Amino acid sequence: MIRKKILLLGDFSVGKTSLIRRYVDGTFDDKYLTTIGVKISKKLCIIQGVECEVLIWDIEGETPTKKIPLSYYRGASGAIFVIDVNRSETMEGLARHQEVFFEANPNAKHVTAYNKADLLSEIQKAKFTLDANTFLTSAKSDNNVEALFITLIEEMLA
Amino acid sequence: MKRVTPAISKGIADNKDTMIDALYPIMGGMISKYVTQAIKELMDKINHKIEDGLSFEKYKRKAKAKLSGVSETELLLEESSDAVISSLFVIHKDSGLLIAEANAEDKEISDPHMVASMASAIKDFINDWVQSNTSQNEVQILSYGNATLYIESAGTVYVIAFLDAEPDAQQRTHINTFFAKIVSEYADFFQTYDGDDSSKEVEELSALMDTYLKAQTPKPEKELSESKSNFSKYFLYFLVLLVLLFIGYRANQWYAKHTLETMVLDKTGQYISIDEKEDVYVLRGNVDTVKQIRKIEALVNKASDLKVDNHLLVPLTALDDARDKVDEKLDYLERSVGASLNVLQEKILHLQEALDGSDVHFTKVIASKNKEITLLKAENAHIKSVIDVEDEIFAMLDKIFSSKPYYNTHDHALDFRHLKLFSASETEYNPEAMAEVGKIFEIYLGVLKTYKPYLESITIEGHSDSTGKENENKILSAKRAEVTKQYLKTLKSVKQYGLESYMKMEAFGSTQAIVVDGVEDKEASRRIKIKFKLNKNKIVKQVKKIVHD
Repeated sequence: MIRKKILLLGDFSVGKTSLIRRYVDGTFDDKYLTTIGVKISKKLCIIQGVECEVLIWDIEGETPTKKIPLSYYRGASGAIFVIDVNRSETMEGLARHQEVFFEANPNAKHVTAYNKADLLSEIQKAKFTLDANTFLTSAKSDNNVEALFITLIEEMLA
Repeated sequence: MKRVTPAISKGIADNKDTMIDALYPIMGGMISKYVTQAIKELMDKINHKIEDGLSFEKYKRKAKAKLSGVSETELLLEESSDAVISSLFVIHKDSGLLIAEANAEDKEISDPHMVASMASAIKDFINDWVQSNTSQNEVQILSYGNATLYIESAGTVYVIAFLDAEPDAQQRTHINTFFAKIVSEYADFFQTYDGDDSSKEVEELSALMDTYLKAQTPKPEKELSESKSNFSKYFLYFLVLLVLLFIGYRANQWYAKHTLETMVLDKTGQYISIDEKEDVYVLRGNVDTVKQIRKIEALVNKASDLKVDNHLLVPLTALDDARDKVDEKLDYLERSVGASLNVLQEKILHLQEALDGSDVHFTKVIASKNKEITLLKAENAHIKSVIDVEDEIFAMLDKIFSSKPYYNTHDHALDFRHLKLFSASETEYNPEAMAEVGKIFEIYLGVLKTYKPYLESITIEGHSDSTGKENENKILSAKRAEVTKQYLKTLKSVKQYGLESYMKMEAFGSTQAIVVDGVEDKEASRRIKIKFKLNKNKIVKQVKKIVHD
C-alpha cells in the first residue's frame, strides 16, 4: 500500500476541519488541534486500482502568539488550500500558506477549495474562475468534497 | 581537531540528514562508551543510597544479599532494569509516515500509521518549542502514566520504542545499538522512501525488529554466587524447620481442640470454644441449660487427659427464653384447654338438647302408644263385641223372653206350640194366634235389628203332627211356614228395619213333633218356630276391618 501525507492549509474558520470530517474514515480528537496545532486524520481510497492511504494533517491557522512548527509542513506529497468564499481576507492568506508549503515541499501537488459555497447564489458562483485544481466546495452540503481530495490524490500518484 | 573546510561545511549543511545516517553507527559507539561511564556513576550512586538508606526494603535487600551472596548494588540494579519494549516504530522523519513496525505478542497498536504521524507531530512540536527556548537537544523521552516512548533520531528516520517504564542507560544503549544497525543497513532505503510499504526492505526491517523484540526476554536472575555461605543455607533450613515444627504443633493443638468442639456440638447441639492453656482445657461459651454445662464437662473429661477449667455460662437471656417458652406453652395449653372446654360444653349442650328432644319425643311416643293402646283396647272390645255378638243376642233374648212360654232357652228360638196356630191338616192360621205371633215377632226383631250387619237369616220353620204321610206333612209344614212368613212380612217393623230379604222358611214335617211322656201333643206339633242365624263370614270380615283400620 502507498501512504502519503497531505496538508490542509488555510486561515482560521475557513472550514478545513469540516471538510475533513465530511471525508475521512478516522481521526484523532479535535483537542490535538488546539494543543499542538495539528490534527491528523486518515482516508483509505483506491485510485485507478492502486490502494492508497492518505494521512491528512489539518494544520491550525497561525496567529501572532502561536507559531506552527515548520516541520509539520515537511514530507507532504500534497496540500489542499482552503479559502472561505465569504471572507476575502482568507484569500490574502492563501499566498502565505502556499509560500511556506512549497518552500518545504517544492515538488508537491495541490488543489484549492473555495469553501462554504452553499452560502453563494448561482450568480456569485458564476463569477469564480475555476480550473482543474480549483473547486467550489461545501462541507455542509457535501458539494465537491470528495472530488477535491480525489483530484489531489490522483495527481500525487501520477 | 582539524578544521573542516567551508566547502565541506556547506556540503554537510546541505546534506545534513545523509551525513547523520552515515555517521550514526560511529556516534552510537561513542555514546555507548559514554553510557558505560554513566552506568558506573549510577552504580556509585546506588551504593551511596544503600549506605544512607533506612527502610524495610533496605534490610530486606541486605538479608537477601547475605543469603544469596549477591551484592546489594547488583540487586538494586536488577530491580531497576525491568522496562519492557512492547513495540518498535521506524518513522520517516519529514513526513511522519510509518516505514516499519514490530509489536510484542498481544501488544499490537491500533491504527499504527495514525499513531506514528501523531507521535511525529508531537515530537516535532516539542522539539520546536525546546529548540526555540533552550538548547539544540531533541526530545528523547515522552512519558504518560506507565507508557513511555523512547525516541532516537538519526538522519531521515527516527525510531520509537514503546516501553512500560523509562529505560535505563543500559537499555537505551541496547536500543541505540540496534537502531544504529538498522540505520546502517537501510540508509539508502530510508532516503528514497516514498510511502510504499510493499517493498522487501520494509518486510525485512519489520522481521528484524520483530526478532529484536522476541529476543527481549525477562532478564534471568543472576546466578547465585558460589561464595554462598553454607552456614547461612543451613541456618535458613533450620529456621524453616523450626517454623514447620511450630506450625505442626499449633495444627495438632488446633485439631485436638476442633475435634473436641465438634464432638460437643454433635452430642449436645451446643457450640463452645475450647482453648488449651498450660495443660488445661478452658471451656468458654454460652449454653442453653445448666444441665448441659455438666454434661459438656463430663464429655471433655472423658475424651481427653487434660484437666478442664469450665467457664461455660447459661446466659440470662437463655433462661428468659426458656421461661418465655414455658409461658408460651402454658398459654398454649390454657388456650387449648379453654378451646377443649368450649367444645365439651358445646357437645354437652347438644346432648342436653338431644335429651330434651328425646324426652319430648318419648313423651309423644308414649302418648301415641297410650293412644294406640286405648285404640287397641277399644278395638279389642269392639272385636270382642263382634265375636260375642251371638252370645250377646242370646243374652238379650234370654233377658226379654226367658219367662215367656214361646221362648226356647236352648236354641233361643220363638216356638209357638201353645198358640194352636193351625188346625189339623190345615194351612190357614188362626188370625188371633197369628196376630199374637206378629206382636212377639216384632219384639224379637227389636233385638235382631241391632245386629243386622251380622245377620244371615231369620228362618220361619213349619212343623206338622205325625198324622198322615210324612211327605204330605212336609208339604203341609212348608205351606204353614210360607203363610206365616207372608204374614210377618206385612208387619211394619219388618219393612222399617229392612229385614224382608232376610226372612226365609224351612219345612220340617213331623220330624220334630212334640212328644210328652211318650204321647204326641198333636196340637203342639202343628206349630211355627222362628229363629235367627248369624253370618260368620260377616263377623270375621268386620273383625278384620277393625284390625286393619
